[in-house]
Amino acid sequence: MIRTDLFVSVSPHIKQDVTVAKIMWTVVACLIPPLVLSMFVFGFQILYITLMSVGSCVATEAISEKLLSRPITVKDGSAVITGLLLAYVIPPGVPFWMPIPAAIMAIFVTKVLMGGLGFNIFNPALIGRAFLVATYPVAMTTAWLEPIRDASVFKYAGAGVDAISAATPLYVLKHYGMSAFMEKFGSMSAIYTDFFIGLRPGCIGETSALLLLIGGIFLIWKKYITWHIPISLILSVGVLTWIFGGETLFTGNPLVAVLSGGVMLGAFFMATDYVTSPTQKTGKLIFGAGIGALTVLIRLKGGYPEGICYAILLMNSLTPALDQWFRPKRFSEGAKI
Amino acid sequence: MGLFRLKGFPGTGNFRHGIHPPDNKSLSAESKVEVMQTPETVVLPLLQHIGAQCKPVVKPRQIVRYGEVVGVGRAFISASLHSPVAGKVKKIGMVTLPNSMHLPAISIKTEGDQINPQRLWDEMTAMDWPRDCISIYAPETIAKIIHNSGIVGLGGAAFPTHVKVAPNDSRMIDTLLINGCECEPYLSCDDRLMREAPKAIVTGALLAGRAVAAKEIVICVENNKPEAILKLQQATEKTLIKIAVLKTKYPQGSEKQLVKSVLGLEIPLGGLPSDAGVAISNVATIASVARGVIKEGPLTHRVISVSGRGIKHPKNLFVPIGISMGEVIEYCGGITEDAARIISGGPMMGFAFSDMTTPVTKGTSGITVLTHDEISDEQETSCVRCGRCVDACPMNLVPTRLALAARYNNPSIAIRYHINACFECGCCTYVCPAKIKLVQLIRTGKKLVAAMAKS
Amino acid sequence: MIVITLAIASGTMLLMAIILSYILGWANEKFKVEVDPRIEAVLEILPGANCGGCGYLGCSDYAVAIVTDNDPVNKCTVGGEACAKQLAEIMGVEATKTNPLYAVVHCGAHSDDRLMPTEYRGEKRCSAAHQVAGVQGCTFGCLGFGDCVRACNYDAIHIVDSLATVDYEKCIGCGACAKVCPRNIITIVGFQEDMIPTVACSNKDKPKEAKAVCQVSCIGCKICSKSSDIFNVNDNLSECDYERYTADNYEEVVEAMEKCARKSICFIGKGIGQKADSRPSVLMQK
Repeated sequence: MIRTDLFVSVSPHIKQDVTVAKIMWTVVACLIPPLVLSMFVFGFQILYITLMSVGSCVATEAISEKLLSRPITVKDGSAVITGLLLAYVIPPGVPFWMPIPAAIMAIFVTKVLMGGLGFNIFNPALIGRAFLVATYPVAMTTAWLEPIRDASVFKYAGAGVDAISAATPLYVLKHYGMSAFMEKFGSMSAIYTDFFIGLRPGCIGETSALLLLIGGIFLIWKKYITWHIPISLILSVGVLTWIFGGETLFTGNPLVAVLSGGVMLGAFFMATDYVTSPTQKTGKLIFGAGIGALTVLIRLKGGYPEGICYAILLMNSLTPALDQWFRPKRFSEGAKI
Repeated sequence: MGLFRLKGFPGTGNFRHGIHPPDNKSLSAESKVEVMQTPETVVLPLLQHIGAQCKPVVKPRQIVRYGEVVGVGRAFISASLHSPVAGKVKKIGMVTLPNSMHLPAISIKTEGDQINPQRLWDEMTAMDWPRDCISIYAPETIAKIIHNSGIVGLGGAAFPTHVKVAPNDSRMIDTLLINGCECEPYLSCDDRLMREAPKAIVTGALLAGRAVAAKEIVICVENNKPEAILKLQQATEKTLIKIAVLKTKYPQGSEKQLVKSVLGLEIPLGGLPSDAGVAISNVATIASVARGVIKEGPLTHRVISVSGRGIKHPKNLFVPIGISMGEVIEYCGGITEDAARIISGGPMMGFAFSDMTTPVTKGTSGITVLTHDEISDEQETSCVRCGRCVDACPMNLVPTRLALAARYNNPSIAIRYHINACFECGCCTYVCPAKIKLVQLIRTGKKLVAAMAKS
Repeated sequence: MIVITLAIASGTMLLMAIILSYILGWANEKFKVEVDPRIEAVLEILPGANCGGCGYLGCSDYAVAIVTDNDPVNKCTVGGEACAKQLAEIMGVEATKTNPLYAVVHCGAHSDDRLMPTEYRGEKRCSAAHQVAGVQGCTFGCLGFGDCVRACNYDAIHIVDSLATVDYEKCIGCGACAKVCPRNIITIVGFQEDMIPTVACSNKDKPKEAKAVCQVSCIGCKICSKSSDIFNVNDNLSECDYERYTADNYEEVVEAMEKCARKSICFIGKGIGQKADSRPSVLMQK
């Protein structure tokens, strides 16, 4: 007597209720609060940029997979994440169409041509940004907006993109030094609070350390990402800036270094991208520390005021090697018969 | 890791990685063991254990008594087979076991007077199991009786027990661990046995401890079985037996993880527990050792749990070996409408089957029936290298590497990543968000590696 | 100044070139390896498919084996008889008659013939499904997930209605499919004729059990062996003795085929699709 109405398969027969799509959409949810805050800080036009970016990423993925006759995977949410992250690393004052070429570069060239989700070597969103920095350098380095602190100003902010142009904290710090920085952004305690909440010029999604931190901690609590990369990244940025960032050794300001630029966004949402980061703990720690070191190097010695984008991309290329070098030590590897 | 110690033991009561699946033991854990009556026919596959197949010593139409030897295991790693019923041998046919082994089996039709299985179970649960006169049995005698009784590990792997207790001068056993962890979700047969027959377990533990000359005997139980722990504590009073209460975590009951948890020792790859001076046996095995030695009864019956949301009345049953799975399921009210998969064993390491005539073997610890909701059938997506499998693997391997090496026929990478250390616990597949069938692929990978080693 | 620099540079290069070429020339003489010219010639004739059907790692390995170890020249299945003849000429040996090798799948059950299938949810590969009991009733027959198809480099085996089916126009008998089949139902057979009979079944179970799982399973009833002695029944399974089949046996094989109640004998070869009772109409007319 054989029951043909059953299913047979192999053990284990129960699986955890986690799918790639579920993880991806959770990350999307964690990325929404910084966007909402940015809308009030920089004006509504950033919403259009973000929607344009997400839309063109999803469309690029769907169309390119259709053309290559592959299964269409937009439902898994990874294109949405790429779209969001791409918008988050663009200055708020750029024209609306700007994300489109970046999205094609990010999704089609970096991801789909490499074989789809799981096979890309570099973080797609950051390739998109690097592409924009190379092709539209002026817009990408000058289209900053001053944050709106006054609720009455907010009403008009959406009206014009070129409302007020500003300079990012790192730019001021790099080119004019600490005193000019203090002059522009106020006392140290005011700087810390503003930067922590997100009231500073910067890219669309990178300003609010607080909301990014909440999202990141939520992901760590859900065990979707581990603490290794964010912590080692932030620590190495802080420590190295403290050592080398000042006029003399050990006089740099680690907190400003961590709270400005894209360190928080990079640490919790970019460097922890599953596909392009190592899978093992030691590898992750080295990966994070390497990003931190490269970021500080580019910030202090390089031509750009911010370097996390290139730091992550450089370390992405080292990921396969890190996985090779730091294999987990097998249980009882040291034991002898 | 090193900060916490299990009280009274060198280990921590825990091991690295592993998972916490919902244990669902409450479905069947509270129902007392019921005794099933003797079925009309029993089917006894000739290989119910790890090792060499046993040779049938009966012919069709031969009359056999209860407990008569029907198959003899001549090789050292083999076990004899005894008839659980009195009756007439029908034929020696072929059966396919859930683990896809296709092998000959003796079927016996019951005839004449039968032993009352209730009596066997009452013997088991009786409180008069001796504890003091153990020393009248010489270690060799105990090993010999275990061999003759056909006792194998009842936890699932079914390794012949006499091999573990056989005197071996080169490997001294310091500690006998008695495995009552039962880390598989759903199953509750060992839990019930510990609650209902603690005295038999204690006697068996003393006997097995004497056979291997162990200095220490430890019964290991996960902390989700408080009543079993209490009963065992009462039963082990004034004996040398210790009870280790371990963290509830899968796969706590795996040999290597258990030794690590309790004793802090690591068994090397390819080594046996005896390499670390440890012998491990399941509680049910130990109880049948007690029965074999004291009551001189062979292994013919065992406790199984029939559980899962797809079964109408989950139960724990004392059944003769060789009864068909279908009869056991019918006894429990049959399967429900939305039952989707029937598994021999637990859901993590058990084998699915669809043939209701499949017999219960010595290694069958239970039948789990899962519903459509419980078996997820999500489409496999590509690996995103999230590393969840790496963080779940109790052997600290890289399951995704192993599985993909197997999929792309690359045994050399599989060897470099220690494919043979994998014991197929299923943690990686359980946590995989891409729903890749890692364990199945790793199994095919092991075959590839074996084929490469041969050529 | 520039002229002097240029002169020094070019002079140095010239000197180095002379010295190095002298060393190379000397080494060429000194460390000369004698290569049998026949190896080159043999390699020229071998098709260069590197399929491994001969049992060596590739064509060059086989070429060395032919020349140095006097290996038989008829092992190349891709080149076939023409290749063997040419090789025999070079080596100066007699080319023995070679039967072309093809893969034979010893299962004839298409999806409708298989009884008691249970829906299988797992890795869709034969090697993986073979670990699971009850994917289909029969534990011997073709699983139909196509491990052999993936192994074949010549596009010569396909899954047709969940049965591995050899395309004899393309098959070269390299044996890659036979190696990967977890149920070992594919064998490499030397074909005496263009079309040969085979028992398309591997089920060694007793008649009752074999009948329960498949509509076209061989039950070892021995009727075929009474008609033709090229069928031998062992372990409840009839096997065809391929070496003894010639066109002369044709009539008796057809008789056996007609008498087979299970329809598990069929003809295979170029021009016939593998079906449970496929019959070479061409041969019938002959």
